[in-house]
Amino acid sequence: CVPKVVEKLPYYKMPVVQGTPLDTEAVLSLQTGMTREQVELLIGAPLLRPAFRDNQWDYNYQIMRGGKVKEERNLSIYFNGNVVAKITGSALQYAREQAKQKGL
Amino acid sequence: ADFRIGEFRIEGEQHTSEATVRSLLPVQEGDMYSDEIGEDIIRQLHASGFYENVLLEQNDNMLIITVKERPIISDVTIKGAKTLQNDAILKTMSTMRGRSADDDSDLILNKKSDSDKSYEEKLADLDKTGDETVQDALSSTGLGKGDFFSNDALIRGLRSLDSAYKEQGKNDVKITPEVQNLANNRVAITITIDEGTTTRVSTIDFVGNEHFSDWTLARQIGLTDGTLFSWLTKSNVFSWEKARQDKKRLEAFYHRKGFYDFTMDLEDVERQLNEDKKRETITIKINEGQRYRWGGFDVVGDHKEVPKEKLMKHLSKLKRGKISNHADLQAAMAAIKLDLQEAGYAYADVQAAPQREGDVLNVNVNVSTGPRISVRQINITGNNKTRDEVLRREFRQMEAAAYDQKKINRSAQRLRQLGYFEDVNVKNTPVEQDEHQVDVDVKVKERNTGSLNASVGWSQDDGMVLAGSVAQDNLFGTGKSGSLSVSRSKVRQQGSLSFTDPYFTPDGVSMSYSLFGSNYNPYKQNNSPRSYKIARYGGQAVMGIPITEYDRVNVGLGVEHIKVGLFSQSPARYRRYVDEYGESNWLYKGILSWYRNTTDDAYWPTRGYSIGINAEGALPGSGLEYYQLSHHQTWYFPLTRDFTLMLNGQIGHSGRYGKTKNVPFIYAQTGGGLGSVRGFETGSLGPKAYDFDINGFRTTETYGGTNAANVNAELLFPFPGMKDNKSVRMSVFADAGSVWDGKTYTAAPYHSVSNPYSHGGYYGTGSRQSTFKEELRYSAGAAITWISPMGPIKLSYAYPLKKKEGDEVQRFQFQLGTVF
Amino acid sequence: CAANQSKMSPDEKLTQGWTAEQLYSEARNELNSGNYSRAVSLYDVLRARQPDGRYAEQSLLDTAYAHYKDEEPKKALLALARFQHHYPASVDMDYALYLKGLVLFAEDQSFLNKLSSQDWSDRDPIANRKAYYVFEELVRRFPSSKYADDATKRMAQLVDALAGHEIAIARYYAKRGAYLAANNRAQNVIKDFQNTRFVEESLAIMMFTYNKMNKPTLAADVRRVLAHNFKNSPYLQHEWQADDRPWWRW
Repeated sequence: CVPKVVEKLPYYKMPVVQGTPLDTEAVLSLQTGMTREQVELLIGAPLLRPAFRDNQWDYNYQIMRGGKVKEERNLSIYFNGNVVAKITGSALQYAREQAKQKGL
Repeated sequence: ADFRIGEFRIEGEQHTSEATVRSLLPVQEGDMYSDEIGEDIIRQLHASGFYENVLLEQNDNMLIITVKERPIISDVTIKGAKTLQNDAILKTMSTMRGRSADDDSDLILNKKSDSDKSYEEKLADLDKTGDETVQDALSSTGLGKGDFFSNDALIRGLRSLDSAYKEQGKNDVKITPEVQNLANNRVAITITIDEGTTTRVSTIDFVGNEHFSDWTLARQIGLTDGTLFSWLTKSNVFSWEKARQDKKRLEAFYHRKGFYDFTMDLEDVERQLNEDKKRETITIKINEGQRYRWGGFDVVGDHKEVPKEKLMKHLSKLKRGKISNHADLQAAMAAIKLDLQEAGYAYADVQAAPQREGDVLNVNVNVSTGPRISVRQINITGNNKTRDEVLRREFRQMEAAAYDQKKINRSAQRLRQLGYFEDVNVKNTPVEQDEHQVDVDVKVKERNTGSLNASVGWSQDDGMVLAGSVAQDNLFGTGKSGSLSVSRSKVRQQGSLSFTDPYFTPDGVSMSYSLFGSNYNPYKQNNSPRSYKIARYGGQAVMGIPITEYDRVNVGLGVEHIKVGLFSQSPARYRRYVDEYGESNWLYKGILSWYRNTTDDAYWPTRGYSIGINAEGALPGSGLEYYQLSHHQTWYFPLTRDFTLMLNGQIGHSGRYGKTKNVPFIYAQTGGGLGSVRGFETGSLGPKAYDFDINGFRTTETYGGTNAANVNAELLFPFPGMKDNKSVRMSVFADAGSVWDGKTYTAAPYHSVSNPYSHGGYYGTGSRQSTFKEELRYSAGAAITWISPMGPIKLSYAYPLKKKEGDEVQRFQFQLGTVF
Repeated sequence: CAANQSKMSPDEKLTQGWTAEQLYSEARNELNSGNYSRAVSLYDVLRARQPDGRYAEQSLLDTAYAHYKDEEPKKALLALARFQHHYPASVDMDYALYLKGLVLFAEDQSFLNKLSSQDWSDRDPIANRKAYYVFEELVRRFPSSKYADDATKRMAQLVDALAGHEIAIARYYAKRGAYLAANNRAQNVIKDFQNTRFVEESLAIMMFTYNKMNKPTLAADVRRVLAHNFKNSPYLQHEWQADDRPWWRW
């Protein structure tokens, strides 16, 4: 039995974590117009370093087990020049739900 | 007077060359000279440690530098040292760094960080790692042969020697140095030491202790006023180092008994030496403060998304009203910190803020998480042989991921369980550019994981035996392990080959294959009609599947062929075996086992446990239909930093099913020897019958039994004197075990050969049932395990406490290859 | 020398009346004939008795060489440090640096190592980096030294090993599904080791990991750079994938 086949068996696969979960309040307080330093102060520098462009910061948080993604949240911040132009990503929605739960 | 330097002229140098002086100068010819430049030149030349003093003169545009060199040390001799041998003295003197700091030569060079290190720090790095001789140690302080002699280096060295002697209790030691000048500016140093007598502590008394008597407190500390063995252990010799440790012991004692405010100050320890400095009395002043009971607890501060109930759970053990035990509070706070660190707050800080109300202590645990940290890189160093991936695949913590202290601790434990490393330590270093990130640095020290042995032996019934085996856990650093062993004698030929890949799949499913073959035919040697032949060969493949982070299940299939050959008067049990099962049988074996291991090291466990259940048997359709079940548990308890208590238990059962009427003796449970009840020959426990060998002597035949059980308790401690290198471990132990099958045996006289179904007589008188109690044996003894470059070697001496007639006692036993 | 008679080591007694030349030549042929510890003790006697002049300087260097040959890297480094400290302006400084580089380079010619064809990038990067800096200093301070070109060759070997180390880790993390980690490690190769043979594969890994993290725009950037630098790179047609060695090969 070749490794590829064995890998399919449902045995314990270590959860592979990438990126860091972001603070709910910090994510909610992000708005366009902030400078890079302000963003970095709030949620730290991005772990995902875009190689050949620098107007986009990506914050990926992902837990994967045996090739299947169990939990995933990402946040992309687009800059023009030094100022935030657009913020997208599932992390925003997730942060709002968290906030509602905690009754902020 | 400032002027432009036309040229330099150097005078007075003898040992150092002119070029050396020029290279040390901060200025070249043609630069401007000013008073500051002059001071700079003098400071640089002094910094080199070569020159006693430096004179600068100006002769119109030429700068004349006359240097007076320090003499070179040509020899250092020590006289009159008794308690500290010369080597130890030279070494203690060398620990005092006598040299002035200079940074020109990069010793072990790491461009970025090392260049700003002072010369001494770099030497210190080198010293720490090297097992250098005294000569190297000395040369690193300026007191070595060929070094430039400086008086203050000598004074500093002597001061450290004096304090070393004081630590040994030699309070009136007299050390006189003598520096002899020799030809062409060299010196010889002789140090004469008059050690005087050791001052012994005659009485210790405590001041300020109302709740506990002097006697109870004296029992807590290491310092004594003279015990039976103090001439050897020097426990009645005072030293400040011992005082510091005793302070910690007293603090721990009082804190356990509820005296939260207990303090003891080292300055308050008074020493009155009598006139001839032979005796001294020690008075230790302590202030107990009040005894407290626990009140309420609360967790205060921002613990981010870590739920408060989870943190409070750790404090639940501290019940209200109970005597306040500081150690419990410390443990709870450590657990709280670990929870925060698990959530990514590597620099979480947990402080206790107690409020005192009368004799009740309400504690607010202040929690501050600090920034959430993520791991940028995991740097693995020290692995000269092992491949990087072999270590990295054990890591639960990923790079570019949230920091998780529990995962890092678990990863370090997995690395230690591999058994490839003597030492594994993990350290975080913050990343300069971003304080939200940290690098995890893993430093390992590799251990030789192979065992390679070849032997030529001679045994009276096997004749000349040639044997060789090579086993390597970390085959060429790939983390795969393989072993090949072959042995050949006229009577017995054996061979086995096994190969294991622990990471058959990236997530840790392991695959191991093994082939074996053995052939035993004593007839060739003694051609006695009473011997028998047995040949077995086969192979098996086992797949190890992780089912949780800690548990693994092994599933395997195997095949084996057994062929038993008889002669005219072969022993009864072989004849009965062939009658019942026929000469040759094919067995299709199934293997199923569960295993869980949380010990902290493969060869040197100090805590944790390992539990396993194992089932093995011949599947239906095999020649013999039998099964073997076994369960083992081993627990390690760290009593102190060096002492570990190991408790181990094993039970086993062999059974039969289908057309096999009773368990073939080849697969019965056995006991005795290393790993079971030491002091008895391997496999010799259980019901025994006797038979006669070719020249009519009674030989004991053990049949083994259907059930086996044994229990061991062992106290493990490092070999005295070799505390910190983990290679030799001694232990005292007690074993108890039994192998029984419940049948009743009657002690009958020996039947004639013609009746195959009889068996030799059974020891003892009348008939007895082979029960657990009947077959129980126990022993006690001592053992020593040496984790040698050729693999672990265990030697044990055991004295059987309970033995019966016919038991085969073997007090010395020896084993190579496994730790237990 | 004036030390009392009984304390002298056998070599000191034997070479009682010898001149520096005799001592040096005796030590020299001991060194050449391979019994290094005897050579070292003779050099020590020479240095204690004749602490200055050409012989002392040369004997310190030879002691370091003897330790190196005797598989005693620590002692060799200590001797070299004393040499650098006592003779900062020595004409043989380039040889001293070269020897120090060799000690740190620590080629392991042991039979087992050759058998396992264990390649350089697998082992501890710190040792490789230290050796690299020493050779670099040699080439920088003594460009015309006769050791310079061998040092440059070894530096290239070390750079290749260091880059190999980074890419091996990138491959491992890509295989494990830790795409962010693999991407960062691959970027290290691009940032620090542009002129090594691993740039193409690290670009491929970056493209593979960006896609896996569904960042098509970033993946497209990398593809453009890959196509520009490596016209006919196989990774333009098919994606990077972990080369799983069959179980029986190591």
